[in-house]
Amino acid sequence: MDLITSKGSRKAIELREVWCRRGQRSVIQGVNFSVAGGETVALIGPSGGGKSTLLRCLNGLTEFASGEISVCGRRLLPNGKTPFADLRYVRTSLGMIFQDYRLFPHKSVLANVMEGPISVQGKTHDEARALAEGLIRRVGLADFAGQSPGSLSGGQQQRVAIARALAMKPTGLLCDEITAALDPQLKSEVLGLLAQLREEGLTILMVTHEIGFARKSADRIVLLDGGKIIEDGPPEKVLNHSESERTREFLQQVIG
Amino acid sequence: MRSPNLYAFLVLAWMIAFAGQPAGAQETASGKPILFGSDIEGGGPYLFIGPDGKPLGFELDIVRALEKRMEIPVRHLQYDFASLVPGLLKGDFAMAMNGLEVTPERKEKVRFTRPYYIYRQQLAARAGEKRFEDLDSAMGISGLRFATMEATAAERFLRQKGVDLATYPSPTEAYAELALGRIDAVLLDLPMAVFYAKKNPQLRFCGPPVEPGEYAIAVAPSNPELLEKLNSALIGMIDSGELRQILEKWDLWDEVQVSLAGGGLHDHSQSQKWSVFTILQMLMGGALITIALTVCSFAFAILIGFPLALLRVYGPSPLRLLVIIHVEFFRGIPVYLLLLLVYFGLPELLPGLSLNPFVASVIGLGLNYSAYESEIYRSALQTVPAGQWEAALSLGMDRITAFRRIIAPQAMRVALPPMTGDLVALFKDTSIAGAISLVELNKQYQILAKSSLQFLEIGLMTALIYLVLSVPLGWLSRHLEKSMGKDENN
Ligand SMILES: Nc1ncnc2c1ncn2[C@@H]1O[C@H](COP(=O)(O)OP(=O)(O)OP(=O)(O)O)[C@@H](O)[C@H]1O
Ligand SMILES: [Mg+2]
Repeated sequence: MDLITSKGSRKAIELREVWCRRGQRSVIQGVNFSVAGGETVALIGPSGGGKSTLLRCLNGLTEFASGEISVCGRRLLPNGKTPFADLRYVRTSLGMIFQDYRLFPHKSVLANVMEGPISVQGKTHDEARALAEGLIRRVGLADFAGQSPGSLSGGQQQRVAIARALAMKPTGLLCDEITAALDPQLKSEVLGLLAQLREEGLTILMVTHEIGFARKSADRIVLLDGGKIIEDGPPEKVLNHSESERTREFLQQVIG
Repeated sequence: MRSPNLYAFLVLAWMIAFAGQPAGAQETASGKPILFGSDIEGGGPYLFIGPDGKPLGFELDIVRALEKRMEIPVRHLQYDFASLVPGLLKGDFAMAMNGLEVTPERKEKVRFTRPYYIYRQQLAARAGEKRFEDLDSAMGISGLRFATMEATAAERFLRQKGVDLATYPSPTEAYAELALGRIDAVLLDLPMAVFYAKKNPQLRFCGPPVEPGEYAIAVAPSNPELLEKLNSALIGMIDSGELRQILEKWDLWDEVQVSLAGGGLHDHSQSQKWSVFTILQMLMGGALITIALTVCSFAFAILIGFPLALLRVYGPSPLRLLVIIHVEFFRGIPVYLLLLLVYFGLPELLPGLSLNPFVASVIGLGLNYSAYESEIYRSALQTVPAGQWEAALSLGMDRITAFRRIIAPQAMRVALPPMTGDLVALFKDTSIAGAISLVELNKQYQILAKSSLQFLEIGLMTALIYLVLSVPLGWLSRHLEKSMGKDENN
């Protein structure tokens, strides 16, 4: 199925000297990094290191104070000054998946997936339905289309959330610990889906603690600590041959 | 045309139509109908509803005669007795006629026609009373409890004498309390005493009637033409003997009216039976008003409450403060007071504003419930997790779309059960509108009960109508609460 059109090697995400404050503290402190189109990047790091904040800055859910961010060729402006048209473009280009699914509880699985195409892209009910049914089949939940999200398992709900994001025909996904709340076998359902999407050329920036998955499926691993990037490279290099003491310490804790 | 029920229904329609229609005092010149304000609830023999649902009373007979002589149609407007003078000054009706005694206080505010009846005060006691024989001896006894009707000359007289006094909105309550022994003596205008106490074997008259005074028709000072027309019509009625005929018919003619003895007494309201069908029909009319009032007030409450809740949750802080003040004010004061403020107070503030009782009730009840509704919506909106906003926004929705399609429907499910509960409460609270003379179900009950003296039967019928309407709403509320609760557990 033709879900995604990859933009090849063009930069999908680019940050230069980005600073972001939450409350009194600077949570992101001069971050520079980029993600190429079609690339899969795993963002790791200790709790409170600013991973979620960074992800949210990329689609305007959180404001940043200074620096430059561009996503899929659109500039985001500091302090919430981005025009809504650009914000909408960025948000529909990079779908966001949350750790706690955030499905719409008053709508069926099918209606959850149809919602974006109808209310954002102005698709007709029939178009949206055809698209949504395809996606629900794609994530293996055809039998659950009519059910309410509350009656699904966590892994199933997360797959619906991915289908909901894919319905906007994004070029990439921002995933914030999307398997953290799941049991091991449910985790692999979701991670398997992610790996397939990667094969289809989707750009993926994922915050994760699944070091095994990152090693196998990520093109790069980025380690964020104290609001700063302290490591950025291919998995093999970051995981096995890091020169940074801090990185080795962190990996020690995660892997055990 | 032997169809009393149809007639009762027409009378009802007539009452409802005019209860909601204020009339300026200036309308006399045009020949359009003018309104006379009077309280049906005050009862016999002035103006009351007969067993067939048809209005009766010696004042109604006088009005019919005046109507012919003046060649101006006159219609009745149901109005609380104690509010007749302010209502007249407000312009709700052109003339007040309801056994209105000519007192110095009233003369300061309104103009009176020449009197159409000379009243006196009659003291009544229980049949077995031995302690006193007349008003003088009664007032000599300490610890005796008197009663009368509020806003009457008798009240004024007894207050001046400094006796222990209870007052009631109508004579029926006073006599009922007397028969029950909760009070010892009732002093009231002779017509009421004759109508209500004389035929009651538990009660007896004590001594001769005393303290004569005059009943006259009150007109606004701004309307001298009407006063003149009424006066010349009254002179015509007295000269021709028509007034005497009417008073005789109602057993009100006595030596005080002119020094002439009247014919035999005939009692108008003894052994008359009200048909259940008539009563039910009239109560249904009241129930319709109650339903209309409930629906309109609730719609008004939602219309105000919803935007207020939006401001409270998403608005800037100065506006949020205003909403808090609105909520605390309107749920902090009694609805009754609010209703009086809207109905009598607002026209003082905005002269020329003439709210009919229905509209005033909708405003009063609506404002009161807007406070509760906005609180329900506020807490319902706050139960929707912030994550739902973020999920909607990250799909590319603007805030309005996100609110309309994602947030509001979820909040609605939380708000629905308490809203249904409020609807039931409001339905019952509409009975307060009787205070500003709207004849809704409860007021209709009071009028019927006081006219027929059947408090228990009619009271139970009224309660049944309230229950039939409110109990299903209560079930719906509990059902919604349960089914919404289930959703949350999953
Ligand atoms: N809404 C907020 N207001 C104030 N401070 C916040 C807010 N959200 C996050 N922070 C702070 O910002 C810092 C970075 O938080 P962030 O959630 O980005 O970290 P993280 O790397 O995603 O951590 P975790 O692995 O626990 O999810 C933390 O110190 C956190 O306390
Ligand atoms: Mg996080």
